[in-house]
Amino acid sequence: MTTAPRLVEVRQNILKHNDILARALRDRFQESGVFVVSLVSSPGSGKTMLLERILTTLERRYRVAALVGDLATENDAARLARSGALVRQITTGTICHLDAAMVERGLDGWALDQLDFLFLENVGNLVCPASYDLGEHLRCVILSVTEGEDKPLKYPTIFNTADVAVITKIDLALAVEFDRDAIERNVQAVRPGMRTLAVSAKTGEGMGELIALLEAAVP
Amino acid sequence: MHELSIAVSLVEIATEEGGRLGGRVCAVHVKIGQLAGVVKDALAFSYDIAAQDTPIAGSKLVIEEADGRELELVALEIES
Repeated sequence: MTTAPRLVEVRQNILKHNDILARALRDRFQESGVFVVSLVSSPGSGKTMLLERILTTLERRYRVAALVGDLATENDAARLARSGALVRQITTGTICHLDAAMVERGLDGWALDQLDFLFLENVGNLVCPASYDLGEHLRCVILSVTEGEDKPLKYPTIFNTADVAVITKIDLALAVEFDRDAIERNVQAVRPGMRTLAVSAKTGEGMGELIALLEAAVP
Repeated sequence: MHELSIAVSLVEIATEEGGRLGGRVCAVHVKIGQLAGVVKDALAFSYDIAAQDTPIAGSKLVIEEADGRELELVALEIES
């Protein structure tokens, strides 16, 4: 005789393992006194160039490192290493996002207590990274003026999980008739109260404000 | 398309919980929020692949939709 299956409530977050690892990472970062910033954006937003500029500027006064995620190639790490910062590439193969385990492996052998800033450049993707906590203190979502002002409305989840929105390539604003008010409205619609900054990594416009925001986080 | 990664995590947790409870897991109930960034059909498709060759292979995935960011394993159906 077979009995009917019994339904047992278990209630677990599906990404529990990632969350547990991310929490452990966050504790480690806290203990080591390193401020951790992640960057998420679509491919081609100028994330790497922005990070290059940030690393070069911060490297003069702070101990800075970066982990950069891409599906393939070590190009970004090679490019960023020129800033003088400690840089390591994470190649994810076919995986479209970084997760806490990849970050943990990527940090292997690094003395976190010797660092002031650690940057985590996610794989260029505005969808999947939203679900994965990496233990970062600050999540920056980056979008360029060429991408269209409605991007926050199209990808609400990632904007919703981010702490600050950085608009890049502002030097092209005129050429693409970029509407700053529209993007501000759209960001506020999906993430009320989120701070937005507009920068050009090329000309340096707005970079001072971004650097000041980062510096305010470390003693 | 990270539904396969999500499905793999789900299978891991459901297998763990199933092992703890004993018996055969015949269905897995999940709650997926609209803002979770997960496509229901893609998750359902990925689930069968992720469950292959695991103790919960062949189990049915039952998806309940929610409004927020839920990504939750809610319940297991167990045959003893």
